[in-house]
Amino acid sequence: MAVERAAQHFEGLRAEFGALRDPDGFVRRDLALPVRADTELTGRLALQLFESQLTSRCVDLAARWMRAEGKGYYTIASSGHEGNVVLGALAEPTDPWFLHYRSGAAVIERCGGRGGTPIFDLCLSLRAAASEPISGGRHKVFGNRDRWILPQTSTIASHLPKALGTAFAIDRGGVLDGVKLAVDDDAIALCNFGDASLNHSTAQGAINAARWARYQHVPLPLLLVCEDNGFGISLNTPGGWVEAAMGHGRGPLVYVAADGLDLPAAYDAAKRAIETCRLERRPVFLHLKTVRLFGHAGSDLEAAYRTPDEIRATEAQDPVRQTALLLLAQQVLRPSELCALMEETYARVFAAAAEAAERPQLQRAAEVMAPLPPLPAVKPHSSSISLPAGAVQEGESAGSELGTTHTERAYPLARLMNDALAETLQNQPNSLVFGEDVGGKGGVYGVTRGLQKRFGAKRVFSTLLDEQTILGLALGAAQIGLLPIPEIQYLAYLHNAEDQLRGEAASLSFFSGGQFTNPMVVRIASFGYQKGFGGHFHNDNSIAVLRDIPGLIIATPARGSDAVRMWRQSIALAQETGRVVAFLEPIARYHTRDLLAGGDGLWADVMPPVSEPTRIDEVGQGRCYLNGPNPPDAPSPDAPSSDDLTIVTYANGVYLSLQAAEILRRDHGISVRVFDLRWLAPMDVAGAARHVGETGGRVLVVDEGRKTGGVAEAIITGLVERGVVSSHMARLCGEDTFIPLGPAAELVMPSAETIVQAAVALVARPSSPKAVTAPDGGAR
Amino acid sequence: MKRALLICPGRGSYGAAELGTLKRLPHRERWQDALTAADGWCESNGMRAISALDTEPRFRPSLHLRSDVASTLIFAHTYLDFLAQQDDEISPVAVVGNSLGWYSALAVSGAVSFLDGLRMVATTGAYQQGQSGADVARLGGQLIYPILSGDWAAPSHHEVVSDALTEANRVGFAALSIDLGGLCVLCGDEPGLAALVAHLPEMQRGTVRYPMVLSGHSGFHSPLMTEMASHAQAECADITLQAPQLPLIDGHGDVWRPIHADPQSLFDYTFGRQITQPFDFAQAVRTAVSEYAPDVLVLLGPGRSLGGALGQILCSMGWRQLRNKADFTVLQRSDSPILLTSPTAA
Repeated sequence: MAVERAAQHFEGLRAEFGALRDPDGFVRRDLALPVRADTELTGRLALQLFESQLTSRCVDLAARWMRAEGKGYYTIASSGHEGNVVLGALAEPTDPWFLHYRSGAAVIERCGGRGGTPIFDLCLSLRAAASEPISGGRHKVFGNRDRWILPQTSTIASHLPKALGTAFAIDRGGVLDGVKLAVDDDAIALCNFGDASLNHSTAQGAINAARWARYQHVPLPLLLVCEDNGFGISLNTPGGWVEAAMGHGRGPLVYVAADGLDLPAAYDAAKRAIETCRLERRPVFLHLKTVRLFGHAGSDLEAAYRTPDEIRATEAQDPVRQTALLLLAQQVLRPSELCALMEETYARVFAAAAEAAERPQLQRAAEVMAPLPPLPAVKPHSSSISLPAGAVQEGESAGSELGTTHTERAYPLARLMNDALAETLQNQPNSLVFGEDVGGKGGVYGVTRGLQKRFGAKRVFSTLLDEQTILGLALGAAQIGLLPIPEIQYLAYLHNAEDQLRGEAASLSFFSGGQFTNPMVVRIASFGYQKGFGGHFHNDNSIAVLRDIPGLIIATPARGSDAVRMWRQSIALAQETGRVVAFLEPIARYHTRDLLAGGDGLWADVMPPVSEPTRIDEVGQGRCYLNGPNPPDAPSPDAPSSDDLTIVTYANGVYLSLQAAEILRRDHGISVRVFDLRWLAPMDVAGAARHVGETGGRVLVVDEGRKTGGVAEAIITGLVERGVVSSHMARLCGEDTFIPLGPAAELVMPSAETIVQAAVALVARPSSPKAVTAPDGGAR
Repeated sequence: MKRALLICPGRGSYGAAELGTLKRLPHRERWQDALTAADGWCESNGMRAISALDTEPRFRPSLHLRSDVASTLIFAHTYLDFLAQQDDEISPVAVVGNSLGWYSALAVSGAVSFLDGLRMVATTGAYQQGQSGADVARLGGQLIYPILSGDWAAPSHHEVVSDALTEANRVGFAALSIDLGGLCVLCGDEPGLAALVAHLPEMQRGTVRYPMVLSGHSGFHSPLMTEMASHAQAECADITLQAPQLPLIDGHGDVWRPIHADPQSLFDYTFGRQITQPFDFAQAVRTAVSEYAPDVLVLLGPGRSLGGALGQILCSMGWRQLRNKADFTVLQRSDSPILLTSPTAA
């Protein structure tokens, strides 16, 4: 069993060194000198690094002990990878670092000194103790605020895109006016990963993007450290694969090979790699040879896929053993001193583990969820508005003097968003706008038009076609203090990169107890109704994936004025509370001006004045259209209502429902109020319930997304849970299908006509509108 | 065999109750030679012998609390206590010192010889007493104030201390001098110290009234001591340090390790940042306890006045599930107390 194997191996080392006699007349080597003729590594530093390697090994043993005692929950070890310790000494204190799960020795070296307590912290982490300083027991993750180890939990190389982003942001942030980053000007970003992880699309995408950037001389001080032990769980990495894939002559990436089993050689190579990266501001691939000792994890039975001879041969290459032999051979240590060091290191690590093993873990769900950023509670009453008739709004201030819009003219969504983006770029000097075609072209719908010209290509720029890179860029930049505004050109393109939001962006605050954030507002051009243009890739309505991400805010404005207000709230949420916001813009409404008839201008809005306060606590509130879109006679929101039906909807559904409402009023005598959710997370079910309650429990949920797994399910469920139930509840959703090209697209999504039909049918149902309790929903 | 963190106390640890410590110190055969050497050194340098000071008929604050006398007296007692306690039951794994105790820790860990260490503290103590051209008035003073609730369960008074420091710096200089965990030692020049006393709300814990000005103390661990640092560094330039034989944790939370610690860097720290920057004793203890996980903390003599502070630090860490004073008292009375004090402590 791997548990015994690791302990046996350590005993073997003790026995081997314990059998050695101290040489007569031992004179210690001058520790200020190189530890060996062929290296820069001094004896003094070599011994210091050996201590960290040895400590890391003992922590691995303690992890297995804790697991065997039922007090620890993680046994993936760093054994065999201790050569990475050199990076802990060579990197500068503010070089942001994303680690590999076998980087324990590097952590111990980096986090020691100046009051650091890496041993105990690691033991608390193994214990999943609530007092563990980085994640409060929510994960076993390497992280440290003061030492710039950015915690991330990736075992699938999903941290490489953001490492790229951080590297990019170090230099980019350095040239922005009014911005001072917390890291040194010449900092580099490091990321460590395994040889098998190199094959992940995230790794390949990040490396490709690094090459692409370097090819164009974009400064990118990224050190990619591949800790190559030749294994991915049970699968061998083909011999020479990493060098073949990444080696010399493979484009603009500098490749440096390092023998992680030989401490001086590893030190010298890592030093060269770091210097090149730091001085030349270019990506470097450091290929660090390691071995994997004791299997993938404590539970892994290596004997199932390796022969005893293979296992023994690997153990003979143990880097801790090799460093010890070096120190003995070079008379840095006497054998007795080595043995004493091994004894004491083992003793103190196990004593720390014994103390950590008794520490309490998280006790309640509320404690677990505490770092999911809290949002002020959504108010029970959502404000109702009436649509402006398209004319001047009284009482506005000078408004958007920053923008290109005239303060008293009405504009469609795209134009107002353009203004809002300009406002953000003006007011937040650390903000960047980037994505596919957003630079010179101004975006495929013109939403970012003119921004690059006005604010410069350092702040507004087009990226390569890779959403993992776009989101990774945002993540990495956000972690060191920039405010990224990435654009996903079409919702359909999000899905190949969604884990950058789910597994990386949204989880950071959770896994770091709120100590680390990566604030950003991701703009996503979303939904269908582009009159048959574009087919599936340009009319995607799949948003369930976003709703499934804990803590993510989702904004879905239906019109320009809401979009601007919600945009300002989203930016404030990001900048002030570190949130991640997905801002879904309905493509079909970008250039819409009219609602009911050509030229009515009812869907164009005046730019909300900048003097209007931005209320973060109102995020998540919906808004109700009473008595249709024409408001001069609109009753006050508190007046009793005689509406027959509430339609609850969002995005394009608002537009279509208002069209339907007009037809229902005019042709069927049915009065409808339309409740625009505006936000899908948090969702204003309470607001919807209030209005549905006022319309006797009669509700039609219009959901342009698919029936299964859609927003409508949540609304109906929420109404039922609140007891707002009637026999007049229905959904009109998109069909469970992909969106086809051309006019056929209209067949599978709600339209004004089908909304009218559904509403008429609903109102015509015979049963009483009062709440019923029969489980089959039948009338009473 | 219990793994032990050794703790060397600082100024204020030799009070009236400590008079006659040497009579109570066991295993004379282990420490007599060192005492004799210390006495010899003191006398040949025009100072009172350690044994003479300890056998004075009465404790005299005007004598025993003088900077030069107190420094050598405490340093010597700590080292002798260390020698006395060498036994098979306790295995030291690391050493920390509080303020003056740093020099004792250097000696206990083997980084400096006993007599060289004695010379270091005699040099600094004499300067504080006004010798070698020192302007004692400009060296300022210290006071002590609680920053933990009476039951040790929660921090307290951090804001009032912060406000008092702000106010004091309007009229003079004031700063944190030593962080003891449950207590803070503040320092200041004359106007600064007076302003601190004026702005810190009075309180009483047990028989002690706070803020308590420490008479005879200078503004240690602050820029007020910059000249003393230069003086001491020059006077002691010929002293050779070595890597300690036990890990040594300093007032900045750094660990100086056996064999490979750089003696020159250790010297530079001792006569540099250690003197002119705040000494974070609480952090030193927390670092040592977390990273060395000792079975016991051994507070070397003289006396045991630092014992409460150590208990407070352990409670703030939640070490051994300690949460408050009551927990600590129970543990200390049990079969396996965590804090051991000198056999000479009254």
